Amino acid sequence: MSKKNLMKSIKKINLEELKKELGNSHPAVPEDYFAQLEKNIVLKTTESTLSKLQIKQPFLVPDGYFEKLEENLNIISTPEYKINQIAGKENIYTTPENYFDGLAFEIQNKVRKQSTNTFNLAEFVLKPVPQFALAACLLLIIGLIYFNRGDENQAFKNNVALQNISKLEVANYLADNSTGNEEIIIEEIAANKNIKINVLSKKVSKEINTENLDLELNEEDIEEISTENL
Amino acid sequence: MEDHEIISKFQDSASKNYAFNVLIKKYQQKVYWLVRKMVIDHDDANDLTQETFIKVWAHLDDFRQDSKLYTWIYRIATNECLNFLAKKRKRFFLPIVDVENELTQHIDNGKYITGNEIEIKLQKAIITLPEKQRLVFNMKYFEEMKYEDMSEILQTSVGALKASYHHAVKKIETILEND
Repeated sequence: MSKKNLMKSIKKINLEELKKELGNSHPAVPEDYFAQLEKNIVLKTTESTLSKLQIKQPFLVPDGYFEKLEENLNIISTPEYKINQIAGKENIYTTPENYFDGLAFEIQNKVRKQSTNTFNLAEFVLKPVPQFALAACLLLIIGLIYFNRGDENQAFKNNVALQNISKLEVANYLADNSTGNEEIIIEEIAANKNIKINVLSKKVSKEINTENLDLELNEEDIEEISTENL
Repeated sequence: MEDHEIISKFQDSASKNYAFNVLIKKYQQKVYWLVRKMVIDHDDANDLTQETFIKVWAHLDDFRQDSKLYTWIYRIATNECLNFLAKKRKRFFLPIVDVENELTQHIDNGKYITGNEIEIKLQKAIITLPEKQRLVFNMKYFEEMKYEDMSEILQTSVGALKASYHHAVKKIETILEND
């Protein structure tokens, strides 16, 4: 059959007649198929329209967000992060008002002073004075203490030495060193001091020995002469 | 003005003072805060900041530009701080704990200090660290400085600095959590 004749024969078919002829012999469909058919058609149409529109995800994230996410999660577990969470990074220190406005000027002034006074002889000489003066004072104090203690020691030693000299040694010394001029000297002293010359010369000219020396030293006249007249 | 411009202007006697003024204004705050966090007291920090810039003035002509200008200035400032604290210890015959106590007292009683309880606690915890570790912590935690720059300033290897920072952070975390 040619294409033209086929089309003619189809046109001749009456749909109502066809229905009557077929009766209920059409193939079965799933239950509620026709009830859901409209919904399904709408859904499929919407999906196809949306896919044609190519609508993207409306929310954006920073570049490299997902790459850095793992790194960020690691940071959260570090002690540094914990410190930051607890105490932050706030600077608790402050300065006087307008401090930084005048700082440059102040520094430049100091620099200017230093460069003009490159070498100040007076300052060079006088600057170390306090330190040297202090050192000198300390040395002086230490020296005084040391030498004073030395004098005391010497005097003490001399006293001890004198105490240790026996009377015999004194007697021997006087005998050895007698010049024979004692009487003249005594006369001269007595003339000046009004001492009883006879008494004194008699005592001095006596032969000196340890016993006599004891006696002489214990006699009142000598004590009087030594304490009152001399 | 860029650092290399400052240096070249400083080397020209006609623009020396101008360049130095620019340099001070550019770095004064960074130097001051670095020093202040180390010595705590404002007056001490002021003296050391001035001394740092006076030394910069005296030696900038000799600066060979092997390192960045700011790391060079920071190095002078850190040396000033460490020398100051060492002198303080020697002058008063104090063991290190007493210098720490003195600095803590400055936080408690000193002028020009604000901050809430926990912020002050953090600063007191930082004071308990050894001086070089304090420097490392302050530079990394507060200033977020690169280890490479810190290495130039403190003349220490990057690895040693990382280890030092790690120890410092651990100690401070323990102090903050225990209190």
